[in-house]
Amino acid sequence: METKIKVKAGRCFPDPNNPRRITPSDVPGEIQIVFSRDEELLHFKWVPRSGRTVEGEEFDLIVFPGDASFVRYDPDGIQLDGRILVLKFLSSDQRHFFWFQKLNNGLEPGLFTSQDTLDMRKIDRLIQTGGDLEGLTDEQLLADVTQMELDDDASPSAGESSRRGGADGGRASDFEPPTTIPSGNKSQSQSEMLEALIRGISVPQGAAAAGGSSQQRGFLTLPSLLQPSAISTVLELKPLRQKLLSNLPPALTADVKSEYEEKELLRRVLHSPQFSQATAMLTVALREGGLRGVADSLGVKLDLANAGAQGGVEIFVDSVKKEAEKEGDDDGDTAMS
Amino acid sequence: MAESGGWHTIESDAGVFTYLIESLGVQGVQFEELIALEADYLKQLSPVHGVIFLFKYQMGKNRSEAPIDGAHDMDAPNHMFFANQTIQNACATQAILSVLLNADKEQVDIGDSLREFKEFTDGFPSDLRGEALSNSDLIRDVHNSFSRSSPFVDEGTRQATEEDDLYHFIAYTPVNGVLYEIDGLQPAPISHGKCSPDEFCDKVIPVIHRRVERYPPGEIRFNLMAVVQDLRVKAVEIGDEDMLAREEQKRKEWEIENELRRHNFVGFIHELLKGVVKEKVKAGTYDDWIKQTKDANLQKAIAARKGEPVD
Repeated sequence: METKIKVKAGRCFPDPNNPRRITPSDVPGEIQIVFSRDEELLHFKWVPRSGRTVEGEEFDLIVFPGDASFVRYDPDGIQLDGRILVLKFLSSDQRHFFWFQKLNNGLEPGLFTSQDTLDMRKIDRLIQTGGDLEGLTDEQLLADVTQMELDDDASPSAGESSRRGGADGGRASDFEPPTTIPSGNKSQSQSEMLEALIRGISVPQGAAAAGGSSQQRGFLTLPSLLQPSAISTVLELKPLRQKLLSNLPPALTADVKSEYEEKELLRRVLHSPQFSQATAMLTVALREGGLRGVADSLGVKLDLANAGAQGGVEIFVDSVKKEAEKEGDDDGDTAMS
Repeated sequence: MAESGGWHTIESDAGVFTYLIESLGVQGVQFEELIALEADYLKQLSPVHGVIFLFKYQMGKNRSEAPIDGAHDMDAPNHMFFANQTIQNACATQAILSVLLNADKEQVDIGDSLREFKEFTDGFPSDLRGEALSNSDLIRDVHNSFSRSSPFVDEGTRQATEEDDLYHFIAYTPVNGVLYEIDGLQPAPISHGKCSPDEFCDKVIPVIHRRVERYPPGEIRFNLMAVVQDLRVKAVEIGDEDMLAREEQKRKEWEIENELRRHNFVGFIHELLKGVVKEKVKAGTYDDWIKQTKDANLQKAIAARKGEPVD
């Protein structure tokens, strides 16, 4: 077992008196992302801190790379006075809520410190990629989402919140405003503030936690689309091989002459850890707001016609399909060599 | 330390380290990953200039603790190269330089740039040597040229925080007849007793064994990188043609891997995806392909959540 990150956080549970709400538990705890070498699986865990054990609050979920995301819970028009985060899945409507417990340096209670944002992004990145943070600096983690943010006015359907989990947008009308605790009184002691903070956090219950009746949805990732079985046929196409080779470092392609050598090099690249990492990272980028930036840089015109229920990867693949149909067979891509 | 510009993380890999030092002008030296912690195995690679011990640990547990094994030699920095670590991401390069800058001049040619750097920092206190290293444009640029290509982001510096798991690099090398553990987070080199270059392989292995045993099983991940003579040179010296061919092949593999590490794959993935999409459209199976891929991912996700084996 290898613990990838630990972040101080508490859980949130459905309010027994009001099923429409969930309320924070005041048990000090932490989120741990743990990679199990034996199973080769990543666990999203929550454990109480300082040796406390709490019946029924243990939380240990295996996350499949690409399926789960961990994001700030930030419903439009609702002011939260706690730092709420939600663990969601592309494959189901299940949601689990947490709140950050690290002191927030006197900021307004609902505001994220840059450390909070960093912690959130790290957890998100770890569960998206199956445990890979390497090669990324904190600045990169803090920057890459905001930098590549989609223009919100371009298309509401491609916007961050709806793309992340459709569910939130659709349930907006069900919201009951959470009870907010006045936070103007600066003379409060820290423990009082913490208490107020805890009481004040309240998020709509909606599809929280339960999971049983969840609607299950499939999702796309680039590695799953670009599997060896799908690729091997297209490597027979000479024009495509040449396009691929022209997108590799010249130092690798300089001596490649025969068809056999071309295929050997491409196979080697396709099986390299560097290629795997790149497809996983690009999947995350497409999902996490990098769609527009990636598409622009490649000259791919985004097809947002059916984008409503689609994730970033699916929008991208459909757009590439439109691009491919436009190019047609003019360039002879379909001719076997 | 902020003004020194960004140091990216680099992969801990014999090919990366070897080409990194060659880019700095070092000749006739390479790295070999040690797959067993045994003196006899290490001796086969001799001459061995030093060993880099890389491990992953939880921050806060062992920072600047007094040495449990060995003793600080506070006077040593006056007679050898020792720099305090100021930048987390530079630690691999720093450990490598701790071996090379302390190596016997007759045995290792470190090249003009590193010789200049060594002379420039001669007589500096350890913290200033660390600063000088962090601020060296040459060393930083070469180091960064081996970081993974990440097309979506700008360069930046990663600062270690309390809850980070960190990689840390420690160098072991014989200097002036003493086996030193050189750790930039320590105030001074740690002496592990007398040691001639010939005794190094036998003496360093037990020291590393004791170091590893300090951690509970499963709490530490580590690997070892020996700093050795270029094995192609050695093969020529001993007249072993098979070995030469093997080592030449290994170099070729390293070069390819290094090229791929630096490569931005976005254009390649786009062309590949387009090729596959065209194929599926032409065969009339595009919609099925998308649906099947989605379903397969969903099934895997469900299986994973139930704790069943995937794939």
